[in-house]
Amino acid sequence: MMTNDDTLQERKHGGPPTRSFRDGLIAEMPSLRAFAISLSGRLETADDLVQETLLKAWANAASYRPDSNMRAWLFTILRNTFFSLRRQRGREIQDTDGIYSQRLATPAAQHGALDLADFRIALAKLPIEQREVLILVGASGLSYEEAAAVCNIAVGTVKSRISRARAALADLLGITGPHELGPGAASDAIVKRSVAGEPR
Amino acid sequence: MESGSGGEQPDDDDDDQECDYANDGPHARDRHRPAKATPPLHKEYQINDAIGKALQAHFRALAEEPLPDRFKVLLAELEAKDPHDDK
Repeated sequence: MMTNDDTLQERKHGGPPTRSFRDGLIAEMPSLRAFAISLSGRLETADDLVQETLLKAWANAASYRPDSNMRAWLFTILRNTFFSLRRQRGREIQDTDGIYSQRLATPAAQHGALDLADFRIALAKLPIEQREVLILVGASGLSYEEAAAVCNIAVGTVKSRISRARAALADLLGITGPHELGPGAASDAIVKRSVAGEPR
Repeated sequence: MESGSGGEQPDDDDDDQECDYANDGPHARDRHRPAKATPPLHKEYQINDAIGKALQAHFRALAEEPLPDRFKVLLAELEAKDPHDDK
């Protein structure tokens, strides 16, 4: 784990971060943490990853291009940090059985096959390579090209992983047709439950 | 339950209950056409749409969790040791 002093040592070659850079970091913290939780499944690990990412980002502020997507830049740092730790520590860095996000959902009603709690359990079962691209493109708002750069893979690989991930999710959730999405739009029900019905 | 007469029913949210098209201009009938006249979405599209919305709901819920104070403290320490350009 880097320390603040390590960070300042690494900053020898760059100028001090600008105010807009610092504001950008603050604005991206919630998404960065959400991505970290989605990757690791553990809140404590996720917060360590975010802290490490902030330190590295600060140390390398000079290498950030203001005209680029800061979210994609930060996600790249966090992802590399995650996989580096994973190589060092093995699967203990990722706990999909006790995944933190599953504890967030306590939907009161079922409206068809897709339920947010079920969805999170299914999402956690996906291979990490599929889950990360699904989160990057489907949830965090990155383009295919940006997701490919974050994961250091080809755009075509991103698309094929997303396609396989969707198929796997549908399979895990037992969805074979729209009729199993419930009356009306089950996805709308999921969103409503997520926004209004979950404890903090 | 469908009435059996073609399956077209007014949208419940349509607040214009009186369909007096003659007073609404030449394209009034198109505007009043019930939503169910739209061709059904492809099965795969609907599944992907539901998964997409669930993904966004999942991510949004995580992002809305309160941030721990340690991040604010960390940034304050970094700024104190390495003040940013005031640009």
